[in-house]
Amino acid sequence: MSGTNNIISCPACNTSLTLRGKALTRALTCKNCGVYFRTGSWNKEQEKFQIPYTFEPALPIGAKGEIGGFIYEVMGVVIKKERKYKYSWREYLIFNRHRGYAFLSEYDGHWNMVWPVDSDPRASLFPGGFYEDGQRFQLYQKYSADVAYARGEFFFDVVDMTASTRNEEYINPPHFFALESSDDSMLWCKGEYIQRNAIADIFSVPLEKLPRSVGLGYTQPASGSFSISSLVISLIVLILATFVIQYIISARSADENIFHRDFTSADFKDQKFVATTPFHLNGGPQSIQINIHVPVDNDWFFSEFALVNETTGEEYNFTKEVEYYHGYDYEDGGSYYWSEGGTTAEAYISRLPDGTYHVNIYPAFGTTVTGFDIAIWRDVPSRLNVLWTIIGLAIFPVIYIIWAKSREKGRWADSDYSPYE
Amino acid sequence: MNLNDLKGLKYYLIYALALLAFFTYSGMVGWKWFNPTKTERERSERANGTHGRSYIYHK
Repeated sequence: MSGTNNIISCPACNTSLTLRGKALTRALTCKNCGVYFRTGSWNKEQEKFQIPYTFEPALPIGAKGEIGGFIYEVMGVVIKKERKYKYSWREYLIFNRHRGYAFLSEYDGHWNMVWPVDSDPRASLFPGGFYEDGQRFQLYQKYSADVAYARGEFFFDVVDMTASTRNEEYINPPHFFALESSDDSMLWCKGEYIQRNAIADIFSVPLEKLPRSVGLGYTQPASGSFSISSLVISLIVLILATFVIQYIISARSADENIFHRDFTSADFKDQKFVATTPFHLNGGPQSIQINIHVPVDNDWFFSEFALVNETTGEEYNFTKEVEYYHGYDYEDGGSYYWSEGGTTAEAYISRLPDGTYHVNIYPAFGTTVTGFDIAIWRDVPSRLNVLWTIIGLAIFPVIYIIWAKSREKGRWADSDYSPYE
Repeated sequence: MNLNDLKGLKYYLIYALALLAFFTYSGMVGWKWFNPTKTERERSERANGTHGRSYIYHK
C-alpha cells in the first residue's frame, strides 16, 4: 500500500483510489472490491463485511448539502449493529472544511445530525441524567456496537473505534448528547433531530429514496410545532379571560325581579289557569328566569306555562314539576331517613325579544298542596355558559396532552431506562 | 412561550377566540347553552289574548 498526491492503491485489488479527504483520510473502502483498509502503516488488516458492497446508501458518497449555512459533503457511511439487541442503523460522515466533520445518523427513517462538542456538557447531575443549559437530558440507552458495513472515507478508524468504545445517549427531544468512551478516551457529541424531508431537501435526494419513517423517533419531538407548556399557558390565559368576560357580563346584567306573587287555589276560581300581570322587556334580547316554589310535602305539583308576547302573539310553552317525598326505611333493626326531590323549580328562557309579556300558568295540584309562589327575573346571566366555555377551551388541550403523553411513553418503549417502568 | 409556539397554536387560538366571542355574544343576549328548560314556540291566533291554545289536561 502506498500513496502520493492523494492517490492510494487498494491493498487487495491494487485499484488506484483518489482520496476526497486528502491527508485527513485515515481509513476507506475500495470502490472496486469493497475491502476496508487503513491509510497508515500501523494496521495492515483488511475488513470484509457481511453486507455486500452493492448496498446503496440513501445519501450517495460525494453528495453535498447546506446545513446551517455551510456546505457539507458526504464522505462515508457505516452500518452499525448493536451487540445486545442486534438492531442496526446507518451513520453518514459529513465534512465541511471550515466546520470539520459531523454525522447524520438514520434509524427507522428518523434522522439526527450529530457533531462533536469540546467540553463535558454535564452542568449538574440527577439520577439517570444531567442538566445542560437548564435543559434536562435523560439517559435513553447504553450500548456497544460493531460496524457491519462501511463505504467511503473516514477520518478515523471507524471499525476499531466503534468496536472499542461504549456509548451512552441522553435525550431531550429534539436534542440529545452522545458519549463515546473507551478506557483512555471520551468524546461528547451533541445531536438534533432533523425531519426526513429536510434531509431530502438538503442533499437534493428524492424523498421516496429515503427510508420511510416508522413510529416516533427517539429524539423526535412528541408534540407538534408547539410545546405542551405553551398550550397549558394559553389555556390558563383563555380560562382567565372567560372569567373576566363573565364578570363583565354579570356586572352589566340587570338581574331584576319583575314579578313576584303567591297563588292559591282560590285565585283560580272556576278557571283552569291564572295569568301574571304584564311585564315589559326592552333593551334588546335578554333572558328571563322563572323560579317556582311549592310547599309540597310527600306530594307533587305540575304545571304548564305559556310565556306570551302580547305584541306578537308568540308563545313559549314549557312545563315544570315539583315533588318532594321523604320518610323512614326500616332495615336491620334500624331506621334510615330518606328524601327525594325538592320544593323549587327553575325555568330559564333565552334571547327573548323586546315586548310586553305575561305568563299563563296551568297548574295541577297533588293531594294536599293548594298554592305556589312564582318569581320572575329578567336579564339573568347564565353561569353554566362559563362551564361549557371552559370545557370547549380545554377539550383540545386535554386530548392533545393525552396523545402526546402516550407518544412520549411509546418513545421509551425501546429503552432500558424508561421513566415509565 | 415564544413566537414559534404561538404560530403552532394559531388554529387552536383562532378556535378559542371564536368560542370566547360566541360566549360574549351569548352573555349579551341572555342565551343559555344546553338550556334544560325545553320550550315549544308557537304563534297565538289571538295575538293580544291571554292565551292562544287549548288547555292540555295532565295527570
